[in-house]
Amino acid sequence: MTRHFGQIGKFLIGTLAILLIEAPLAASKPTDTEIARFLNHATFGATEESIAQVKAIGYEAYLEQQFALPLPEYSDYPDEPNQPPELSICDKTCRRDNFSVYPLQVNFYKNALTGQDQLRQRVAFALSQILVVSSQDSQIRQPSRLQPYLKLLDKHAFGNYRQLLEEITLNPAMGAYLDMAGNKKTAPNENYARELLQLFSIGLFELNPDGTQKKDKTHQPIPTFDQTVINNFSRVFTGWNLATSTQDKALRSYATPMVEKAGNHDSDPKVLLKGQAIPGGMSMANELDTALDNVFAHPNVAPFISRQLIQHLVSSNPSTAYVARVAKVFQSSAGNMKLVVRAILLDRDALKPPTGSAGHLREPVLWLTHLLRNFKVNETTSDFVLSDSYLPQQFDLLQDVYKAPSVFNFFPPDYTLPDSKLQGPEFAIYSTSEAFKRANFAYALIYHKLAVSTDRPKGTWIDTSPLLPLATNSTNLVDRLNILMLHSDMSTSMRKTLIKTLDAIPAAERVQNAIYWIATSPKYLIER
Amino acid sequence: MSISRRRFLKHIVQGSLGAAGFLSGSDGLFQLNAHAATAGFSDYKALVCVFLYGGNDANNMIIPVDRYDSYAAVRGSLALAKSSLLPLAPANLTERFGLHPALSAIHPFWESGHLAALTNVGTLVKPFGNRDDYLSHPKARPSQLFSHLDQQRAWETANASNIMPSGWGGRLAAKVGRPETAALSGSISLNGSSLFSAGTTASALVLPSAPTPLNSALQLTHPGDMYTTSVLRTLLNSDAKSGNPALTRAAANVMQKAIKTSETLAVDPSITTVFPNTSLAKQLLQVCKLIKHSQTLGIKRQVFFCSMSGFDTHSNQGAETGNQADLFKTLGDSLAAFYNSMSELNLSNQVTTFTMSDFSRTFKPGNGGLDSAAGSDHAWGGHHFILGGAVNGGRFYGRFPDLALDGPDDSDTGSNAKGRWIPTVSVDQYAATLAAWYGAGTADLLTIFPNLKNFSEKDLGFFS
Repeated sequence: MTRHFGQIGKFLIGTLAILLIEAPLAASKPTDTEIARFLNHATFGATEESIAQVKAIGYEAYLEQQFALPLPEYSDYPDEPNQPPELSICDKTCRRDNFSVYPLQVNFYKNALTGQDQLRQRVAFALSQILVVSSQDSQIRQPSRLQPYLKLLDKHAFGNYRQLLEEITLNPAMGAYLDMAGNKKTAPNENYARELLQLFSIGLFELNPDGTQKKDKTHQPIPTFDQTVINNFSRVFTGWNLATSTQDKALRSYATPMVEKAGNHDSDPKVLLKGQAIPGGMSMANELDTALDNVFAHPNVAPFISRQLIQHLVSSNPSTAYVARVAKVFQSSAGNMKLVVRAILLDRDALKPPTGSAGHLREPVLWLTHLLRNFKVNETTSDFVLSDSYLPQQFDLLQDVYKAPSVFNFFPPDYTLPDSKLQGPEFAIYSTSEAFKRANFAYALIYHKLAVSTDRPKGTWIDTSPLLPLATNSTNLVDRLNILMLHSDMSTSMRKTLIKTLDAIPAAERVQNAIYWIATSPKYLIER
Repeated sequence: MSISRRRFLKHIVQGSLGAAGFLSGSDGLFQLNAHAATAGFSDYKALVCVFLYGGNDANNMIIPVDRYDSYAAVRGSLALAKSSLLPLAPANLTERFGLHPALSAIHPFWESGHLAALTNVGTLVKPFGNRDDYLSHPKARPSQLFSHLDQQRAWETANASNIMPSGWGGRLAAKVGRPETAALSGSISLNGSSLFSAGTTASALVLPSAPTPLNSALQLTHPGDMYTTSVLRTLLNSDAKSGNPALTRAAANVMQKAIKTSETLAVDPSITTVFPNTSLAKQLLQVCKLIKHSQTLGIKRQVFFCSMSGFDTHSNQGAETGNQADLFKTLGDSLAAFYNSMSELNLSNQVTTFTMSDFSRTFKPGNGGLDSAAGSDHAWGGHHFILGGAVNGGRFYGRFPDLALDGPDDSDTGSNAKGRWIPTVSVDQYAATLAAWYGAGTADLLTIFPNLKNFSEKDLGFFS
C-alpha cells in the first residue's frame, strides 16, 4: 500500500499522477522507524505490536481499521446534584467517584495505555485541548456532567467540525463553563461569544489559507472581529438553558442538549461576522444555526483548526504548505474530520524523515503514555491513576487531564521559544521545575513504582524483567532499548555514551539506569 | 530623580567607574547605564510581581465612596455595602474612597504609608488625550483589547503594540544586576513559565513553591545523583550543541539550566513568619526563602513572579462575600504575610511587591447564567497596588476614572455601554517607575520598554 492511496482515493486521476511522479518512493517499504513515527502521531505511543501491524497492512488500512472501531463503552452516571449528600451517605470514595473527575481521568489513561481505539482517543484528546471545558470549575466536576462533553469529542473525532461546534454550543457542561446556560437578554454575558470566536473557530486575526496572518496596507495583522461583533453574538447566545432531569425534577440534565427558554432570548436583529445581518424574530434554533453557519463560513476556520490539530498530533511548526494542504481538505469537505485526520497523518511532511524544526516536545501526558507503552503497561502493572490531582505534589506535571487551568488550555498554541522564532506550545509547561519533576517521575516508574494510596490501589511501574537477560551485554541492552523507546532513531554519540557508561557499572544496575537516561534525554523528550 | 536613584548613581561613581565616564555629559550617562549591568550594587533590591490572572474587577477593589450612589446604581447586585468598606483617604486627594473588606490584611500598610494605589492603569501604545482621541484613532489602540491571552502578554512584556518573546521582568533582571547566564537567574518565577520572567535569550527560571524545601526545589531523586548527573550532562551537552534540531536544543537547555541552578540551592532557610496555606502564600514563602538565601550568596538584584488565577468572574462574582471576596482574602493575607516576612529579614525597604492583571472588568454587570449570580465582562483600565517600605504610600497615583457609562472615560459608546475605562496611565509607565527604583537608568528604561518614549511622564513618583 502506498502512503498516498487513501488520501486522494476519490480522485483517480490525481492518484495516478502522484503514483507516476513518486513511483520510486512508493515502491520502497517504510522502515520501522518511519512506521513508529506515523504511530506516534496517530496513537499514544508506538509499540512493537502496532509497528508490526502497520508493517503488515500499511498506513491506509490501519487508518481504516481505526476509523471502523466502535465508540468506547461509557459508564452510566445518574444525574447528580451540585453538592454531594452528607458524608454518612456519600463517603470519600463515593465523592471521588461521583463528584470529581477521577473516574474519567482513570478511564482516559486506561484507554490511552491499553485501548484499541487509539486514533479516536488521540484526536479526542487534541480536541479536548482546543474546545476546552475544565472540571476545575466546581459546577462541572461530576463525571455525570463532564462525560456527555467527552462523548461529543469522541463522536466528532471522526465526525464533522461544524456539527461539533453546534453540539458543543448546546452542551450543558460547556454552557455552565462559559456562562451560556441561563444567559438572558437583559444583560447578555459575553463569555461564550468571545471564546467561541477566539478559540474554537476563527481566532483573532484574518488568516491566509496556509495559516499565516493576512496583513493590511501598513503590514499590520487584521483583527477578525471587534467588541461590537462580540456584543451581537452574546445576544445570539441568550435564552438557552439546561433541561430538567428526567430522573429527578429537582435536578438538571447534563446529558441532553440545552433547551430554549424563549422569554430570555434577545430576538432583535443582529449583525454578525463580515457584516452579515440577521433579521429579528427568528426562532431560537434557526438563529443559532444561522449564526454558527456565519462563523463556519469564515475562511479562517479551516487553517485555524487544521494548524492546531497538526500541532497537537505532529509538529509545533508545520510548514505553510502542510497547513494549506490540510486546510484545503477541511474546507472542501466542510469539516469532515476523518478526511482531515487522514490528511494530517498521511501528509508528506508527517511521513518523510524529520528535518529542521519538525516535531514537538512531548506534552506530559504523551511523554508518560509513550514511556509506559514502550514497556507494555497493562492492568497488572498499572491502576491508571496517573493524573496530577491524584499524585503527590512532586509529580505535578501541569497537565491534569480534563482539568486545564482555563479555557486557554494547559499551553497556548503560539508559545514562542526564547531566542528563536520557533513555536513550542508544550514548552509553556516545560520549565526547569517540570524538567526535574519529569525525571523524578520516570525514576519512580522505573526504580520503584508510584506509591500506593487509597486513590492509587496498585500504583504504576515499568516491568523491567524481560530486559534483565540483556544486562550482561551493554551493547545488546542499548540496541534493544533503542528499538523499544527510540524506534531505532538513537544517535551514534548517544549510543556510544550509554554503552560506555553502562559497561562501567554492575550488570544488575544497568537496565534501570539505561531506561532512565533515555527517558530523561532531550532526544526522547522531543518527538520528531 | 528619586533618592534611591541618586544613591545608586553615587554608588556607581564612587565605586568601580572612573570619573571621566561620569563627567562627559549624556554620553557618560549611557556609559553608566551600560556599566550597571555588571557593576556591583552595595544594597539588595527585589521586585515581586503578583499577577491576578483572569482580569481582576478593580471596580470593586477601590470604591469612590463620595460617589457611592452612582456606583451602586450601576453595579446593582455587585455593589458593596458602603458600611462594609475600609477607609482610604489618599493624602494627595480630597476625595474619599473605600477598600474591599476582604483586603483588610493590607489596610494597615495603607495607614502606615507603605501601600499605594495606581488608578486606571492599563495597556496603551501611546496616551489618548481624551475619549474623542481614543474613538477617532482605532489604529492607535493596543492590539486585541479584551482578550485574556493578548492582554496578559501586553502586561507581562510591557508592550501593547507588538508581542515580544521576553517579559519586562526578565529583560530588567538581565539588564540590571545579573546577566542571563548567572547560575541563579535574576528572574525567577514561582508559578510556571511566565512570559514576564522570560529573558531575551533564556526562558524563565521556574522553581516550585513551598512547601517544597528550597534545597529540594531542584533535586533529582536518583540515588546515584552525582553519577547520574554526569551522564545526563554528557547527553545534554551533546544535544545542546549547535547543529542539533532547535527543539532538541531548547529541551536540553531547560534541563541544563535546572542542573546548574540546583547547585546554588543547597540550603532551606528557616522563616519565622507564618504564611497562610494558599497557593499564592506558598509561592511568596518560597520567594522569601530565596531572598534570604540570596543574601548569603551576595546576590543584589532579583525579580520574582507569583500569580493567582480565578479572577475571570463572568458569573457569581459576589460582593462583600463570594468568589471575588475569597480571592481578595487570599491576596491580602498573602501580601501581608510576605511584607511581615520581609520585616523579619530587615529588608522591607528593599523589596517592593506590586500587582498586575489582564484587565479590569465591565462596570455594568452581566448575567450570571446557570444558577448563578451576576458577574462582569472583560474591560480595560483598572487599579493596582504597590506595597513596600520604599513606597510613598497612603496615596493614589494616576487619575481615578469618571464612572459614567458612555461617559468621558468609557471606551464603550451608546446605550449598551458597559464601562470599560480608557486607561490614563500605561503599563509602560507603571513598570518603568518600578524598574527605575530597581536601578535601571534612562537608557536602560528606553530599551526595556520600547513604547516608553511615547509617554512624557516616565516616573509616576510612587517611591519616596
